[in-house]
Amino acid sequence: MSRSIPLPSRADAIRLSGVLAAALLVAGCSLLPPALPEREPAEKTVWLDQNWSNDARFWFHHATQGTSTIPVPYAWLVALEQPTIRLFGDPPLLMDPDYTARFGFISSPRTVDAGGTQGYGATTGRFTVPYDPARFPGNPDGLPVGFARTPGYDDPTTGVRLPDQVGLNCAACHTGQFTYRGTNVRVDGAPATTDLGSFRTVLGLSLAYTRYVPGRFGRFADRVLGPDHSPAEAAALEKKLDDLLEQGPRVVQQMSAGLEGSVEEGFTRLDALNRIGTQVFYADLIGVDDPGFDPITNLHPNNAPVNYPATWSTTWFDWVQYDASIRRPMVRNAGEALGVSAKVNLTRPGVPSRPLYGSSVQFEEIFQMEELIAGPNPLAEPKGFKGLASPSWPQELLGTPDPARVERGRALYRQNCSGCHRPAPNDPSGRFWDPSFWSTPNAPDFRTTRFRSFRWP
Amino acid sequence: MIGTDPAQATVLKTRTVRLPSHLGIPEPTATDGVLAPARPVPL
Repeated sequence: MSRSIPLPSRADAIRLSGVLAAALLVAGCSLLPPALPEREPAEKTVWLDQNWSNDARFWFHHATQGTSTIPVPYAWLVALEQPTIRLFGDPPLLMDPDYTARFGFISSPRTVDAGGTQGYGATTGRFTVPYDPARFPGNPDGLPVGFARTPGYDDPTTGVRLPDQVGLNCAACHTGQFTYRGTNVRVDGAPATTDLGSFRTVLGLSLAYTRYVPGRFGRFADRVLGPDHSPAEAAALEKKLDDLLEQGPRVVQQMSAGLEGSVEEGFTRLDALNRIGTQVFYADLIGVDDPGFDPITNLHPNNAPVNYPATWSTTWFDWVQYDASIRRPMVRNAGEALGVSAKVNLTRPGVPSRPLYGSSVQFEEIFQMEELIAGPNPLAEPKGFKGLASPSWPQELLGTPDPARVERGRALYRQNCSGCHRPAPNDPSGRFWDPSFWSTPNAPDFRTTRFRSFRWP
Repeated sequence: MIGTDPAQATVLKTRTVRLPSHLGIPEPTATDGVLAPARPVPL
């Protein structure tokens, strides 16, 4: 069905160009959405056996850490359209799985027992974790792996009630995939292949298009408010959208000097540690009255993007992060949650209901996530990592490796790699489990036994 | 960013930030961020 598209007025066109330019300043790119690669077609999807049951996997992919990573309410995100212009028909939704897959996101089912290519299929996972359905809304809109719906909460800094939010959780950056001969193979805990920067750009564009491309705001309002909404409700929504579109470029302008020297992160990489620092030591301090200095001085360019590390067995490391800056898993998890925009109150104490350091971090959830990755004590017999496991080579998908080459590779690893990376956990020598590689039990920590990253003198 | 000091200790050169005094976080000391020597372990 064809549809005529009314031309914008001159005033609207001027405003559109200005806002688009400003919104794109946020993204630092052109007026058009970035070019995205087409995804390699796959006839089926397979999740490897890594000890997790499907319900544990579904929960881990979509449980909230109390974060508001996406700077619009949940209802907005699922109502936005792709920032493309079509002469015929309406643009597809922004969160269409075929579109989000082009940013590297992994499509995810709406329910744990969904079938078809979006479903998990029969996996033999064993290890699970109990969760409270009342705290876990699931994935009713079929968002990608790692997107979590955060139920509405009172902002710990302002006390203002927020509508349902959208946060990224661990799985967004620590779930990997590859496609081989028509099969999309998905690996929990593996490095993600996403381009978060491009998604951020497109989200900004989508908001601007919603406001200024004729016809879009009406459809957006219908989805957010329902078809029977009043003109006043639509006007209020439009005002909120205007405020956001005005605020975003202003914030970027304020931060531009401090972020000079940042590099494009692209697919598979992120300067996560510097981004966490920017969120906590700059953005979270903006609302503090008279901090005694200008928080802009705390900014640091995002100039150290790295691949997302695998997460299996990391609970048992004595140090984590690429710079070995954190020991305790819960400190790491809370810091990660703050970095992806869990809200924390750093303002001066004064209002009893808003205590200093009050936050939206969901500690029960991030603890359960850690438990799911960790599993029981690996030194308990039979020795081995019993939580999230690194996947075994899937012979049924990739074929059987040549045994002679395997042995050659094992010898090369022992000679050239194991000095720093330690023996492979499944090395036939069993040396990985040598007590000298493990810390003294009953250390005053979350874990009683930790695998040493280095041998201390 | 990791560097090595003359004593061959691995020093964690963290990003320097300022924090409001009401947060109650003490100024870092000279030894903060200094890790023990890290060497590959011959097997």
